Amino acid sequence: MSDYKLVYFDGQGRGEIIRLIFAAAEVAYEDERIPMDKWPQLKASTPMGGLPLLETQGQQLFQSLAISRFLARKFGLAGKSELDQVRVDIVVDTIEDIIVPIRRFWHLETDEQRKVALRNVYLEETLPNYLNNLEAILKSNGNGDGFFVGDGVTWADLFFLCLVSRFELQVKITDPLEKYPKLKALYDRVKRVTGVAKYLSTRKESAF
Amino acid sequence: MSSYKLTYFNLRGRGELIRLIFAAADVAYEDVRITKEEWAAMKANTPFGQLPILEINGKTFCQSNAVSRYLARKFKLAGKTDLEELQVDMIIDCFEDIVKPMFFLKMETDETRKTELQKKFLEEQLPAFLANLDKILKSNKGGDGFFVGDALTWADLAFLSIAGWIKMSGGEAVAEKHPKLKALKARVEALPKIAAWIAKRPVTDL
Repeated sequence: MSDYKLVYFDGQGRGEIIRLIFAAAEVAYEDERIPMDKWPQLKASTPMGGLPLLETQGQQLFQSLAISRFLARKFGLAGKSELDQVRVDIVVDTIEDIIVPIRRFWHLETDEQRKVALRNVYLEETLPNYLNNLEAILKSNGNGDGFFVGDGVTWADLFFLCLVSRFELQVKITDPLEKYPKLKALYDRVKRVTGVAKYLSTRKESAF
Repeated sequence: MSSYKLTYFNLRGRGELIRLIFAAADVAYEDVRITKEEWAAMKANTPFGQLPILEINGKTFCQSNAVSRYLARKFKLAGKTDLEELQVDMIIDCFEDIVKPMFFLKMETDETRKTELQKKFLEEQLPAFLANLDKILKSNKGGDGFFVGDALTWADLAFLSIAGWIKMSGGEAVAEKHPKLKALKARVEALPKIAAWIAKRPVTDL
């Protein structure tokens, strides 16, 4: 019986950052995956009508980033000083800014032509601007050959893995980090962190 | 004694939460407001190409929520336990969820789409969001205090900004249906240090 139960759909999406934190920390948890056809009945019983949820200490917690920060701090993956913690939050928020527009053409837009147009704007303007910023943040830590913050992996690095997954699964770009060698090297480095490597070696493919 | 310098436009926007935190904590800071032209000239020389930025003892940080959390924790406005801090973060993230449709609505240039998005916002998204927020507030001792615990946190201050943006997006009538949320807003605005800041801050459209 674990101290933690994650409830999410059977995919990466907004649940994956939490799974990666448990993996990197090598902490056991119950990974409950809700099939899409069971969701409508379950929805009304959730606090905010959404997933993921983390059940712990008798509470039902929601909001993936709030949950992630709470767990990361508990497991020493949130940055070692207060200033490092704000730096981690800055990276996470910057990555979130890159993810938000994807939802517009992936989920929200139903008209095919508009979907394509939005995706093009994202690829040609939005994304390069943000990836430049993200690489600048990485380079401001030493010379960008380590992790995003401090001298060890933090949940900001794990959230970066989630970003790359979104590029592959939702935006469908083949080599998204092609023009960003330091970010590309970071991606490989994070995948090799012990607990993360173990988790990724058994992670099943999913549509999102 | 740390030195703080905030740089943002002459707007409330994404800078105001930081200003409200300094006001509530009664901590001095330099409140630099620049024009769009000055920003265009400066932008390439800033580490992250975005505003607001906060310089703390000469080191530059961006991302308004990240900076706000750091300051709130320093000034004891972030919740008293790690679970309370999480509850505050949960609420902040809920606010971001309603900011996104407001932002997309503002950015939409196609008039037909804009009308559709506005309808969806006012008839579905905003009512659902406010109903959830009301639930969260009421789950804290009936909803006659603050969002979390028994003291002001930056979640209550962030609510002031959100309330302003909802009003600008045409959502005031919907918001009127939630008296406890309305009362919370009034309660926070009436706190002496907040009221004093509101009275003296520059008056801007956004």
